Amino acid sequence: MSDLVTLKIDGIEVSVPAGTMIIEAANKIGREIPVFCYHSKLSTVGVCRVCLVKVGTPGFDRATRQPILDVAGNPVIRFFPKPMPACSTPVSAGMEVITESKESLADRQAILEFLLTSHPLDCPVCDKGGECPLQDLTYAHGRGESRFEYQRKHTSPKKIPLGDLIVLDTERCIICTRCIRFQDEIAGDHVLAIENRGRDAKVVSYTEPKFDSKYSGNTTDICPVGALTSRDFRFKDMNKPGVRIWELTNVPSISNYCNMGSNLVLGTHVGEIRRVMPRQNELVNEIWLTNKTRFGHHFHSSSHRLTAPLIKENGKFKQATWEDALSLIATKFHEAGEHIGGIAGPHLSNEDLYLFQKLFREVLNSNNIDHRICLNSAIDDDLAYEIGVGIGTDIGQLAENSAIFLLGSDLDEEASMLYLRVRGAVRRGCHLINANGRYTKLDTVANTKLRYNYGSAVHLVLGMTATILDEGLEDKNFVYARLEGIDKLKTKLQAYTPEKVADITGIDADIIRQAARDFAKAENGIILYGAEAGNDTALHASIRNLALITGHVGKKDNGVTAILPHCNSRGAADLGVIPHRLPGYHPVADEIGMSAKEMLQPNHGLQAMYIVAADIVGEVVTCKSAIETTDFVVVQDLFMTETAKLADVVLPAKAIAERDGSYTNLERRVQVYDPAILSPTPTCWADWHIITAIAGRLGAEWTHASADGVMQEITEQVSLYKHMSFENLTKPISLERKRQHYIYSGMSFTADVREGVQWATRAENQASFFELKFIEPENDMPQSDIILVAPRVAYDGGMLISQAEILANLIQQPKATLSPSVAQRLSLSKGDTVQLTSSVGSVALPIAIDGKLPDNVVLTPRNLAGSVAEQLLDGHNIFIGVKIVH
Amino acid sequence: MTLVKEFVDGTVEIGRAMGITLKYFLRKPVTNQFPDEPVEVYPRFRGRHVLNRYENGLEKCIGCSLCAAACPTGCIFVEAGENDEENPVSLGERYAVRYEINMLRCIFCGYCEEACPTNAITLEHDFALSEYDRWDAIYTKERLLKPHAPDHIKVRSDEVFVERYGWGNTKDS
Amino acid sequence: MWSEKEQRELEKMLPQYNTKRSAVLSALYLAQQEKNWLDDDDIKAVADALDLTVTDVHSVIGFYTLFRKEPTGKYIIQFCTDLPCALRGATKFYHELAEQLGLPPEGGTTDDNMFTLEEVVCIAACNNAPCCQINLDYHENLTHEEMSNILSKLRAKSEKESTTQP
Repeated sequence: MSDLVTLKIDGIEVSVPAGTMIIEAANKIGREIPVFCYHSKLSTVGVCRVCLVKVGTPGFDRATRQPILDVAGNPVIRFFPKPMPACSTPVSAGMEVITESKESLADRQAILEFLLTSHPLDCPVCDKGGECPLQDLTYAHGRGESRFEYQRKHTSPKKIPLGDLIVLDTERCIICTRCIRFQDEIAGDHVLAIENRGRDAKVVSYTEPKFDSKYSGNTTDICPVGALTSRDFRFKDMNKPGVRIWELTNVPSISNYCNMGSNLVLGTHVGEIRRVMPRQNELVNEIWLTNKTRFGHHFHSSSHRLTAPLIKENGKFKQATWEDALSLIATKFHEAGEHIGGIAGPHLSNEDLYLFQKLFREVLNSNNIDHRICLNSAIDDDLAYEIGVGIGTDIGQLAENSAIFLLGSDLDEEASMLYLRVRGAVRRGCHLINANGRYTKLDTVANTKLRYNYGSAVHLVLGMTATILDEGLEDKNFVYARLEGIDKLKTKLQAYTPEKVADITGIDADIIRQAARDFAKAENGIILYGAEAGNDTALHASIRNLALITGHVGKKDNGVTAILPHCNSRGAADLGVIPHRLPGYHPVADEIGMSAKEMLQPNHGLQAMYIVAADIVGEVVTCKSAIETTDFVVVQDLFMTETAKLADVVLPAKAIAERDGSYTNLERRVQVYDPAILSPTPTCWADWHIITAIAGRLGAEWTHASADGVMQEITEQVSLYKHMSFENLTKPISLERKRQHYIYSGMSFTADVREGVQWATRAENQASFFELKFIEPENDMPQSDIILVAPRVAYDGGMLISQAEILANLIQQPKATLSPSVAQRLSLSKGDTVQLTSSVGSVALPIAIDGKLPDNVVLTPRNLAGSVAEQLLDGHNIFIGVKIVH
Repeated sequence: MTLVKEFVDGTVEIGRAMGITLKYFLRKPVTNQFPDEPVEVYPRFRGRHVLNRYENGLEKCIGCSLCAAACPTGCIFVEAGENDEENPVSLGERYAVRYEINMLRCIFCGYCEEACPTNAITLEHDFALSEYDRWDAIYTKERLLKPHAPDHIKVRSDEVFVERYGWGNTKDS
Repeated sequence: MWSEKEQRELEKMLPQYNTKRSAVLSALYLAQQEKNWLDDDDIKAVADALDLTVTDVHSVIGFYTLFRKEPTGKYIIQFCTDLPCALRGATKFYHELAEQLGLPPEGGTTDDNMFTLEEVVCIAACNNAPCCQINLDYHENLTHEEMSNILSKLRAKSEKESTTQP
């Protein structure tokens, strides 16, 4: 830490690190200096001048260079003749600051008066009214009446759409540039800028499509006036009357789209969700939300929701009572005996998932359960259980001396919230090694960019590991104390020196070496791996070895985590919705059950299937026949999905905001969400409730009456979750932590924080022992000139997000993205259609051209409507060789 | 003896009582023949709400919901919409799509009137608000917008008011 | 879009800057040289050449008054009518000039696309008012004869250029 500097603010002494700005020092002792342009998450520009304070420093005698002392022996403070901006004046030793001097108060009053010369007084109709810093500060410091008459800016244009989601009212803008700084610094999308000067200055976006950013909604939160408003909350724009913010009931919740489990607040009015605002949690989403989370809530109020149980008779669904539906299910499940399989979607809460596996294992005596449809299978569960990321890891706070090794994931699309945090870490000096087969957005900030050939990620990791062992960079204490088999590993790795893997990976040996050194030498190291790295056990073993030998395990800000696709993928694995593991990663005692992959083969031999919150056919269209051939299928969902259409019984469930529950995010943080609204009809039941009812019909004597109660049982049964009772999870954070969290003025959201609880991995136990495993990588490089890569994208073709009309234009349509040279070779131009053929299937797709794509890659997002990519990939691979025909 | 005394006393009492009756019989009555005759109320009497319009017919209400926020009983419900620029309902960008007051809950405190930035809502003088149906006590925007000056109410002039009590003068002293 | 010559100049220019971004002013100047204003294609070309977003480039153009996004005449006359100049008769001179060019008092471009007249605030030559800047050249202590002279010279120059260039 740098040296501390002691200064006096309003007579109170405070010590802060040198280089701190006055405003932050004042914040430390609870003095709020009014601000508009300053934001603690953004860089300082000092343009609004409302934070002017009186500043003095000890006087020095010029001749003697000694401080001048008064009669009492105290240094004489010489105040600067002009007020200083607190946001951009660094502290110095002995400095004295008066935050509310007569001059400062007059300055504030004058600044506000000036601001209001070009700001309309339309607070009664402004969407920011009631949570507007300008309004608040004008009440606190304003003059009451303006002496200015000219209203030049009052005529500036209103309601300029900045993209589909955000609306700009130029007349309200005070040019604080917070939105621009957010886009440039936090989001990394340079799509906003100030145009012109003086009175003509205005925020513009010329990029096509306008204001193209996945994070643009956050600018409306940090806008200190009502200049930027979201079309979703702005009155009438989404065919809904406007609501004033004080009429909203705010309920804490968790994002169901975000694998980091972004904390949010649901603003509800008359039983409907009207807006989604971030809830501050510095360990998860700081104060940001992705647009998908913010605007994707409309499925709750969709008119397509299932409202009553449906039973199929003669190929047609008929509305039924719960009584009838449950009896039928119980009879059929009973008949099926052990020929029953269950698939639960990773969007379910921990409580649902736990009861789901309990139903199968204890009541139906079957291990045929899974949550891994398509890409989920790429994730190795052992790594999270054994190593994971250390408890208290805060990627958003990583700074110098730390390194992040990101392998095979486009965070911007797959884990948008993590993208913001990793980007923030890099800005603070963290070393980012971004390894992928193609350009991803983090390449713009990555310190080391590694571009491997698809299929060779494992060789890259092995090459790095070999370098570390070769150069003796391993964490010797850790290796000595807690590892076994290092010598064996060393000999094995001799075949994988950087020189030897350079060819197959396509990365220069020196660069691999340098990356290995950077990662090993960093004090804290985190490995994030995604699906584009591959999904073989050799890769997971090599990642494990790399983390272990560098000692980056079992402590804060260290570890390994997979980029899981869904909001509760982690919880599903933790709680045993997987054929070979019981809750808490205990291996199953009896026979291992069928995996989703096996259950979805056409000749699976199952008589009954219970599918909860998973649109299997929607995600992998090739699974259709497997479900059709099953005698009896129960689907429990919110909507009549493609899968539900094939079911015999369809059960209506409650959506996330209509019930409580908990999610476990990819850092293993368990967080609860509260019920906010009522379900469309009382005949929608919570998933855990339905599962309990089915179990009851099958003779089990379960007594669960609430999600809370289910969690209570989990805490007793699953040792990993022993601290996860709702009582624990809903605890507000300590006051001290809240103080650290405190964000200065200009927040229009609640900061009532629960931080969630992480469960401890095996590595967390300092006495735990690890054996290094080496698995020879199979050479599964796709043998083709052109490789189809199918990553996940944020705006997918999912059922829930497609209910949000406001996001309709953003949802990606299936297309094949090619590099310009491939397009040229095949004489293709934009708008053409190509036929892609792999060993499993063939589809026709319109093309797009991306100059940043490698020449041997064609990109097709996998989680889009129609699941086109899955048809080429058989639903289980990540990449495959394809032929392209015009 | 006592019988005679009681008789005399009774007669006197009856006579006195009849005297009072006769006295008031000859005086102008304090009661009002409501609803045949109008009732006089003071100008600041707070009765039924009215939504006002500008002279050009535009509604004064901009749907800001400040009245609903100020209302201590929560009897006002406002839903705002955005004005069609060609065909505006009110001045500015916002107008009230729905404006409802539950008169059963209203305590006629006048806070809504005070909170209103455009003087759109005012408490007028009608107090005869009984309904045959409870639902009719929820006044809709259409009802509130109709000019409302019932015959059974007469407003005393301000001058009488000021003269009698010496206060309430609108001019600052 | 860049002509071949411009492309060469751009390539020569870029290595002179530490980061590509820093070259934005020079690149914009280069892009504007040909027709005196920047259309969307020019802006896109500059953005692509320097790895900036179009919005960023627009922001720079908006800040500097010498970059233009609207079509202008070949010669831009920026005439100062700020207080010191006005005291020396600049306002009157300006209006007369506008009339002479057949333009409305708020300025504009002549029909032959030769001159664009603009009223500006201070070009830092108050001592020699009335003064104006025509493209990058200053003309001070103006009289009407002088102004007519300048304008006809420029017209002649332009004609000569157009005849020499095929």
